[in-house]
Amino acid sequence: MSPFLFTNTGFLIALAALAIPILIHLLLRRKKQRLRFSTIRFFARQDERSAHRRKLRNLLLLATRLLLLALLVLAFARPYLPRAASADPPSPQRQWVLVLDRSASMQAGDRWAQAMTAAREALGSLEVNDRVALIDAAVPARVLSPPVPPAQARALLDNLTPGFGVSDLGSALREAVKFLPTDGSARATLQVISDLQQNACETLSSAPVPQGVETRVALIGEPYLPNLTVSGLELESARAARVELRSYSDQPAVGIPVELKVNGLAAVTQFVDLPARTTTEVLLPLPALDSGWHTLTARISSGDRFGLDDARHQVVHVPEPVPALCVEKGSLAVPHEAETYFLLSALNPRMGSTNGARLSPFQPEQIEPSGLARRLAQAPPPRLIFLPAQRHFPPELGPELVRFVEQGGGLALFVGESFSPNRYLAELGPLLPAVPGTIEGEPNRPETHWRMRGVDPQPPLFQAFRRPDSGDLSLPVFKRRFSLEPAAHADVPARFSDGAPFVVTTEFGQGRVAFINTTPDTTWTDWPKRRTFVPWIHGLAHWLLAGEAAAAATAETMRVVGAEVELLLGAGGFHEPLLIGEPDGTEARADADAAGRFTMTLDRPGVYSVRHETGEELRRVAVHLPSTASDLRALTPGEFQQRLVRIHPSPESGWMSGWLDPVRDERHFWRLLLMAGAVLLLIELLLANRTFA
Amino acid sequence: MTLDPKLIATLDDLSLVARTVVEGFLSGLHRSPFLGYSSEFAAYRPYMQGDNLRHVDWKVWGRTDTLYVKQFQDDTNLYGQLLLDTSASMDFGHPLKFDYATRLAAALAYLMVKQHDAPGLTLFGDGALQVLPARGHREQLDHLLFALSRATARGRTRIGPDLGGVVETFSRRGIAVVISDLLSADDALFELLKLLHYQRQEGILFQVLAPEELDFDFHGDFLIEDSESGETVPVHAGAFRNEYRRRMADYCDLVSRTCERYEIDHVRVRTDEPLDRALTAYLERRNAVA
Repeated sequence: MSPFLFTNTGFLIALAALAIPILIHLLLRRKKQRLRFSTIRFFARQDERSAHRRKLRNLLLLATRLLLLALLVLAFARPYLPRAASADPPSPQRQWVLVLDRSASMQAGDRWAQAMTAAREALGSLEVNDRVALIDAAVPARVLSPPVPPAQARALLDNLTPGFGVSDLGSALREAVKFLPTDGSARATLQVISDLQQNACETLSSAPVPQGVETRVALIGEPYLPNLTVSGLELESARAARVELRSYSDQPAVGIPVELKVNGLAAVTQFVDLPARTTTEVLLPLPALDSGWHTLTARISSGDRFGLDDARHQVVHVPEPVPALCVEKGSLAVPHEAETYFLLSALNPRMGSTNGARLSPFQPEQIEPSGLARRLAQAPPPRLIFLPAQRHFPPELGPELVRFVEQGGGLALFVGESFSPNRYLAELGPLLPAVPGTIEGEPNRPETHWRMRGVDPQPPLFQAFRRPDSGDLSLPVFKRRFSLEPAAHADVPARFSDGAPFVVTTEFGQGRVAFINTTPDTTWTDWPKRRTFVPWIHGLAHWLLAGEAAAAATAETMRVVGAEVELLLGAGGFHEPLLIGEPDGTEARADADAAGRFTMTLDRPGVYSVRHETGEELRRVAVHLPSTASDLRALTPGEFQQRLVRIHPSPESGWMSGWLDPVRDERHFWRLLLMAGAVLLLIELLLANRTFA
Repeated sequence: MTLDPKLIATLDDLSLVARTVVEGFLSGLHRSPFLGYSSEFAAYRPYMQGDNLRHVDWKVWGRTDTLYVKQFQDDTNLYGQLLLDTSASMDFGHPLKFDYATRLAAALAYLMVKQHDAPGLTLFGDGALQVLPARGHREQLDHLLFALSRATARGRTRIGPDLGGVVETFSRRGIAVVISDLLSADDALFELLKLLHYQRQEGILFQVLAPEELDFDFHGDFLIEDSESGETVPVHAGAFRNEYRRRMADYCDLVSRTCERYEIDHVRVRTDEPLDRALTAYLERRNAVA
């Protein structure tokens, strides 16, 4: 029995057409005319030999034409050779590639257990001499094991756990195809075990699978699983956090409790309704936070089967307050009578409260002029000095203030009734941004009072007023002022309505100086009573600090599982042995380099903590799941198979493979037959040309 | 005047043919170049020792005191042997080589008689030998033309002892005219040429060939049958034409060289050509002999 089978058996009837060239050959065979000639002495032998050659060529021509016709008929009949009957000795070995989805979604319910069961069943069907490779469909795909015996692969499976990232089945298939034989040397099977999340299947078209490879898909879990997730947690302000909730469910959820914890302690709980497949934001109040690292955790009680994305963490760092000295030449006993009362209140609104929490990044301190020089030499060194008008300067105060500013300090100078231009020029002359002249203004004539007009909010001093409706700077009234002649190197960020300078600033050494042409209290202006005063004082303080760390609580950048981050620990981490506290409570040791850089891989959601061995915490990092991990919509195995792109094996795999067409378990020969037919046609042309010349 | 071979071929009466050919041929000549001793005065020449005194013109001696001999037209002083090939190979071509050869022989016989020569005829073929000895009487031409009209071409070319015996009878020196295609399975006809040379005959070979033999302008596959032996050979004319022509040319060269060796004039005539060349060649040879 012939080992060949035919796709179009009906075409074999056309083999009867082989009789046509035979009949033509017989019927049209040239009958030799008999010619009586005078002598045959000139024809003897040599032409007889050529006649024999012609006869042989004619027979060859007939045979070529018969073969050509037979090849054409066979090519149309499309013969193929089943693999089992192929010429090569049949190989009992099967080549399997197991693509395993270890994404976070596989932790939903008992999906991982189902996946392991499916994988073991698949491996159980293999023989001892079969080979199986394991591919992790993570991003990027990883080869867990090259082709190994099934027993070895089973042992590897026992140690596998699901991860916390997402999967990319297209990338995994590209890796898998590398281990699949396409030359027919073994039966190739691609086994995919996955929950077939739609997100993971988006790149399937970029991973063509050879035609001959059998593809099996084991769907783990359900094609649809409702899921609610905390998709975002941001620090709205020092007093509030914004929680973003997303529904991946087709049904609305009502009364879902959202709990915000600060450092593990419940801060607030709110119940929210989540419409189907929408994102909802919730603003939750934050308690006052002391300086240091804090962890905010937003959690919902969704009741769905995928709990890994029900909580989200955010790390907040509150810096240490900046010491600021307010020089008070009056009595310190009655606070509200002090000249610096409004300054103190603006720099620390909670001054005098007893609950220990603070809201300001500044730590103001009242001090008499006589003690200022001494305080400048004490620790912690102040960073800011607010100096109302002084009639006299204690000895050494002037040079100390100049040195203070030269070394990077910030100095705010105010004027007033006791302001002595000559004294200031004598004591602080080098750092004064303007030369003061004489007092102007009549307090009892309101029509002569000034206001600020057209203040440009772009200078840093007025950055708090950049947003619309953030305050009207034209409301404060100024009764008196000094005439000022700004220095050539000085800036005038704000002026009165008549154009006279209101604020003149300059940089001196490494520090900054601001000359404010009014009093810090209500003697010459009503500004301290207005809402714009506090933000302006904060803006002034920030500018004087030259933008150094005087910020309020800031949220650290959140990271995604699987990221490798480089943390710059700064001076605190140079060459120091470090302890890395991981989300699961374990600790690991690491070292930062000479620049204080430290690299770590974040392989699970939660909060990582970097500490000194002494216990001082240097950094916290919040890690969350990729947002796409929460979308549990999945394909069915049929849809997955439909999205697969099938290709013929690459011609580079062998010179014959382009002509042999492996489809599933068959080898097709029609291309080879057509090629042979073309060669025969060429031979026929040559023979015919020589025969009939 | 040109004697159209097609016209000649339509004439069955050989005597008519011979007369038409020869008279037409001779009328184109200015004068007869063939002189001899006959009763008709032709010219004087000085007496030479050995001349017959009967031919001295004494009247001229009386007037000039010098001996002159009178010359007359010669009369039957040359034997012309016609040897005609009657083998089957002559029965080929359009017009037939044999017909052409027969007419040529008849014309030559007529011309010989006209020249007062004594023509003889030998038909040689497949052993059949018919000999008409050379005679000078008036009936000889009739006998010769009759023999030619009865002759047919058949059988092989065979040069046997009988033909050799005939040639040995050519004891008197004369002209032997061989009319043949010289195409046979072997080179036996060369033996005839050799015999004629040894018999001191002034030989002329008229090699009569048909245009088909020379040009071989056939197309297609043929089964060539030898007219003498009946053997056949398959031939593809188109593929073999050049080779055939080369072989034919080589053979004709061989014939020419053989004739040259035996001092025989070789005149190759095509059957589609007039007989003029043949008659001219004969007359030139006869003049040389005379």
